[in-house]
Amino acid sequence: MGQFMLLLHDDAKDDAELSAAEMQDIIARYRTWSQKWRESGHLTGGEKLMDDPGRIIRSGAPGQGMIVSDGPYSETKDVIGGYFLIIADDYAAAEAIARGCPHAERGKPIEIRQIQTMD
Amino acid sequence: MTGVPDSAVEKLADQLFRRESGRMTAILLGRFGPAAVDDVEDIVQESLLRACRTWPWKGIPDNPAGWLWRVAERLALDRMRRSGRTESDALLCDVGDGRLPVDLLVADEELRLLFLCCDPVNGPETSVPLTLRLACGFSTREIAAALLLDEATAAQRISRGKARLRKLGSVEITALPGGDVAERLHPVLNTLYLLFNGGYGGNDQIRWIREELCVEATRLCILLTGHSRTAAPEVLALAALFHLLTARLPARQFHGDLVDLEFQDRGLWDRRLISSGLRYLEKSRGNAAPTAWHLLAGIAAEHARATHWPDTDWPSILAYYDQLVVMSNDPVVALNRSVAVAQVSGPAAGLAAVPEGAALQDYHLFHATRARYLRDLGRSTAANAAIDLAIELAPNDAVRRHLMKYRTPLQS
Repeated sequence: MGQFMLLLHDDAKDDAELSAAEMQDIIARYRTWSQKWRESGHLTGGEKLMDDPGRIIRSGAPGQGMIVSDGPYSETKDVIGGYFLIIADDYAAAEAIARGCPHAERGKPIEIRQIQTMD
Repeated sequence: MTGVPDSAVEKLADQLFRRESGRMTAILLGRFGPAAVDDVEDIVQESLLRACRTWPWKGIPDNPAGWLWRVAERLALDRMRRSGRTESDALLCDVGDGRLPVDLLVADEELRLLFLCCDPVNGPETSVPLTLRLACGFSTREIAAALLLDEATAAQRISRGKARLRKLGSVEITALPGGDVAERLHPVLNTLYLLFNGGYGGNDQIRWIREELCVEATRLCILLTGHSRTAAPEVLALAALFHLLTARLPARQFHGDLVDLEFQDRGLWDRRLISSGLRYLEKSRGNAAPTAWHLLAGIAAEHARATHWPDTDWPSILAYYDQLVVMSNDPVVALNRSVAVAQVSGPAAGLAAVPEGAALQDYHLFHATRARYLRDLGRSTAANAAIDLAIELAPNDAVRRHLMKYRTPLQS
């Protein structure tokens, strides 16, 4: 048993052309999926991240201190749009949950990472 | 409001996004004017999109419509500020939150939008897709699928319609003189009828989206019946027609195959829609001469009243068609009339009543109808030749498969 993070890679532009009916359908599918796994105790949390590039800070040249810039994603289409936290036996079980997520069903990638524990 | 509950309207509750899209477009266009149509569409789309991108995480709000309207209001204010306008009374929240008499206010704006989309400058090839886009929240792709157009053609017609819209002033229905309302209602009703018919044509692959057209046409027509200026007798008659035809939808297909009226399981017809339809028809009768919509609704009512095909009151239906033919001068109406003629006086009379001339040579039902009379007269070879022509001209596979069943095996 472990805790996993589902990182939803996203490009907000993919959604720009969705119709009203399609958007409503997507919401309904998320509702079904999250209700199912929340009730079974597998889905424990998650947040949507803002659809902006964010910020990144890194150390600059020696003596220059920290440099703050737009996030690493500003130039690419790939943004982490949000994440879910789940509990699963192993990667295979986590994959099974992620596979049914509407995000994956719509052909967008979900990155699955196990959270490191103390022991 | 009519206060008539019916399943077509209840079904709309499932289509919150589409409905709110039409309502928000109507209100925003009312506020900013038709010239701002592109901005308005962007605001509406962005509001829905934000819901689509946050509700999966945050859950569906208690008042989903209110949430959408609040976002739309904020976006509208942002845009006004950016364009240097200082108006701060966008007030959209009040609509979404139910603090204003929503239905009356929004219904008025929706009617105005409908009149705008169906402005006499637009022919039906523009007004139908434009209405679907702005008043019904359909995407270009959905409009193309529903109207059997390719996407590029649909997009072209929508943008042509929007270009004309930008030049039009807003329509104040209450400010129009009575005669003008009647005149402007004409293209509106035609558009709704075409919208409805688009949904009624059989194609099982995209059946759901086409049934949506019937629902949308009915919804907009009910809206017209709810306004004192637009609740004309012909509007009530059209509402009757839509209700009576929609009632038959559940029986029109069986396992993806089309079923002719003659063979439909009438137990599947929606009784509630039929009684609403008959009530509208009753209310539509005035002192003025019946319109084409009255006659079409009268025919649909005769079918709805008959418990079985043989019980149908064909002489009454023929009487309606006789009037319709005089009124419309449409060869398709004459063709449909021949069916009633055949039922009253036999297949030879039916065949003789089929309209002559080139107008219908490319219409599959012209040949299919002739085939039927020829078959009933025992002229199998001629009947099969006619049905083959019909199959060749069929608009889609569902219709083609359906027509195949009417080929008579020839004795060898």
